[in-house]
Amino acid sequence: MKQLEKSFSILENSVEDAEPLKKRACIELETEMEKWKTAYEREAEKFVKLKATVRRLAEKQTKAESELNHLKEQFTTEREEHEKQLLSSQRLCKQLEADINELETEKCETVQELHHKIERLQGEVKASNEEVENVKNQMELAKKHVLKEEEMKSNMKLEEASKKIKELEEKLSAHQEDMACVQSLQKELSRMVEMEEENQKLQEDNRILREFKTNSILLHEKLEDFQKQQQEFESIKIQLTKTQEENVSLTSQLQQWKSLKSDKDSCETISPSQVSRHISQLQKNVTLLKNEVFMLNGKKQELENNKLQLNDKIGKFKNDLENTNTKLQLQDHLIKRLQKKLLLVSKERDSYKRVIDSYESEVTLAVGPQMERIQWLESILAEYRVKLDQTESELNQAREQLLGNFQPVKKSEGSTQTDAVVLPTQQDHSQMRIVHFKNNPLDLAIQTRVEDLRQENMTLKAKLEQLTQEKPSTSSSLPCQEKCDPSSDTGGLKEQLTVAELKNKRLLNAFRKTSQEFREVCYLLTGFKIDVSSQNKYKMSHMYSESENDYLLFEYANGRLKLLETEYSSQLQELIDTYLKGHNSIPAFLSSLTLELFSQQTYFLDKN
Amino acid sequence: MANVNSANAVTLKGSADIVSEFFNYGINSILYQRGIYPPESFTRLQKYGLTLLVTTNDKLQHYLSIVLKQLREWLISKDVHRLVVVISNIDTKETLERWEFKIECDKDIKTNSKPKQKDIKEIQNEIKGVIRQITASVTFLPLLEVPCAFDLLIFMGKEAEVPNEWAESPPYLIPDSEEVQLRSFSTSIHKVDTAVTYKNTE
Repeated sequence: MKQLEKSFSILENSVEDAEPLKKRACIELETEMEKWKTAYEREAEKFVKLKATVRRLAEKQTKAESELNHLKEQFTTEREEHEKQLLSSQRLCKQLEADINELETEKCETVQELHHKIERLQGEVKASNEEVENVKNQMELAKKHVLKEEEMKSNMKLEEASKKIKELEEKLSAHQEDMACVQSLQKELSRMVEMEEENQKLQEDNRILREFKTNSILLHEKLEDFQKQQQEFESIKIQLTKTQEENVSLTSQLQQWKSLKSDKDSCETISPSQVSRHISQLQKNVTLLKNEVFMLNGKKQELENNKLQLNDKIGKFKNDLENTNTKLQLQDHLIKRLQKKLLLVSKERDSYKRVIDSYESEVTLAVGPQMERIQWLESILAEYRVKLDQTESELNQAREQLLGNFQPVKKSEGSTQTDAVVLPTQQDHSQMRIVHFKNNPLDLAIQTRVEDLRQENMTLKAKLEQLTQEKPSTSSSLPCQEKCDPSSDTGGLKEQLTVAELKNKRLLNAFRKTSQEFREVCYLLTGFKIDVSSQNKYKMSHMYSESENDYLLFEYANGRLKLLETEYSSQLQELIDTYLKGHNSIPAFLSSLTLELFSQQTYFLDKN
Repeated sequence: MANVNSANAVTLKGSADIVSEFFNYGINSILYQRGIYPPESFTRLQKYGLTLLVTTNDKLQHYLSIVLKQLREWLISKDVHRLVVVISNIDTKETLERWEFKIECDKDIKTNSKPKQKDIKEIQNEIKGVIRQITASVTFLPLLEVPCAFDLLIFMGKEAEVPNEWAESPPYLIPDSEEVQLRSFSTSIHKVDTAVTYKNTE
């Protein structure tokens, strides 16, 4: 019983426990039910939709099937029609093929006939061509025969005619000659009588003239003799007058010399030898004095040269003085700057000293790092002091060098460089050694420069000496140098001038030759000789013209030629009217003129 | 570059080679840009990715080869601190320009030390930048209208050995000058700073 009760209680407990579980399961089942209901509803809707679609598809299918059947029927009908058409077309084809075959056979037959005809015709053509050629050859032979015969006949006739002409001409000329002879003989006969009378008269005149001639010859000879004598007398007369004049002048000179000499020496006999000796002495004195004058002039010029050189030196020394003064000023400036820098450095040193003193005053204990810092600062101070001493010593050296370099002109490179930069920040040259290669490019360049200057100096000195030796009487050495240099230049320029002039002459000659040749060729080709008479005016004369005055004048202005009036142009009015006024063509006018003149010339030649 | 074992390892000798080669091309560029020698006496070649101009003058080539050979030895012995290219007027001997190349060497390195690692291309790029700046310096440097010549000065330690062909020289400083600092390059063993000092033309 108890067990049952226990089991019952247990069961009741289990039931009680299972109830909520059951409720939960019911709830879960209900929720699942609802889910399944909603799903079922959805699926039912889907089913309805699908049914509708199935119905639509079935309807479509029926429609499609009906259309298919309709189309099939159409297809069958069309197929039957096409088969009928095919059969008819096949029949037509067969007929056409038969026709074509017939036509081909006919064509072949006609072709063969035509070939036969062609062959026949070609044979006939060949035969006819041969006949034609034969006929042609015969014709040519016949023509040649005919021509030959005609030529023979004509030649025969010509020969006969020419023979007759020659005979007739000979007869004519003989007849003419006979006539001329007869006439001349008649004339001569008439003259004979007159000639005899004249002959007698002339003989008498001749006798008289011969007598006169002899007389005249004698008289001429006498005349010549007398003329010669007269000339001689005249020359003698002239010489007489000259000698008389000379005598007068000489006597006057003698008297003058005598008077001169008597002035100097009192009443002594004057001899020409003494005078000549006196004169020679005077001449010698004159030459001596001239030599002394030349010497003095030379000395004067030398002194002037020396004076100029000294003036140049003075100028150079003045320039050097000025340069040294400017350098001194620069160096004074430098010294002032260095002194200022010194002051600054000393002030810095004092400031650092004060800083160090302040540090020392602040620090009571000897702490390791601060002591190190103090030592480091002290080392820097010591360095600064050393550098200061160095700068002061270098300053003093610079001053001494400046004072020492005042008189000679030298460049103080090392002193200024050493004065320049030694500041207590960087350059630490005191602990370093500065080396350079002995054969360095700078020294080599300076050496070469110095050698070049020396060589130039030597050459200039040698030139100077040469010039002073060659020309002592001329002016100073500087102008001589100036003359020597341009003389070589002028010689070269003169050569260039002569070469240029020769070239010009050759060009001118060549130009003249070509221009002359061109003018001649133009004259020969055109027949006209063109000359420039004055500005823009051209005179044209023709080779076939009758006289030199037959010329044409043209004026050239603004790219056009105008014919000016001349005597000859007034004779050519017709040509001018037709070609110049009518056609406005000068070449046509000129060519017509040449043709006219040529025809005139040939007419004259033929006529002659 | 005989002592470089791999592309990135740089020994003391290799670094000395790189630096002396740079000086060769750098000095040639300066001589061409400043017109110390006529431009037709220079020929082109490709180096550091640039078209560089080097002289064809035999005497100049001989001089440069001697100086740079000695410089290389001093670089290996770590005696050289500075190289200066001095450009002066031949007539007046006045210094017109100074190209200063300061050389700092790693003091711990020796010829038999391990090579340091630095990419060769990076070094070449740095050198390329320096040489480009040298060519670009034409824009601000004053024209050298007078005939000029150059000299190479080497700043060394006082205890270094100097052959007989070399002599002591003054520093050829320029009073009243302007200085322009250019780029530097480093091979990890040597560091080279470039600066140009020229005469103040104002």
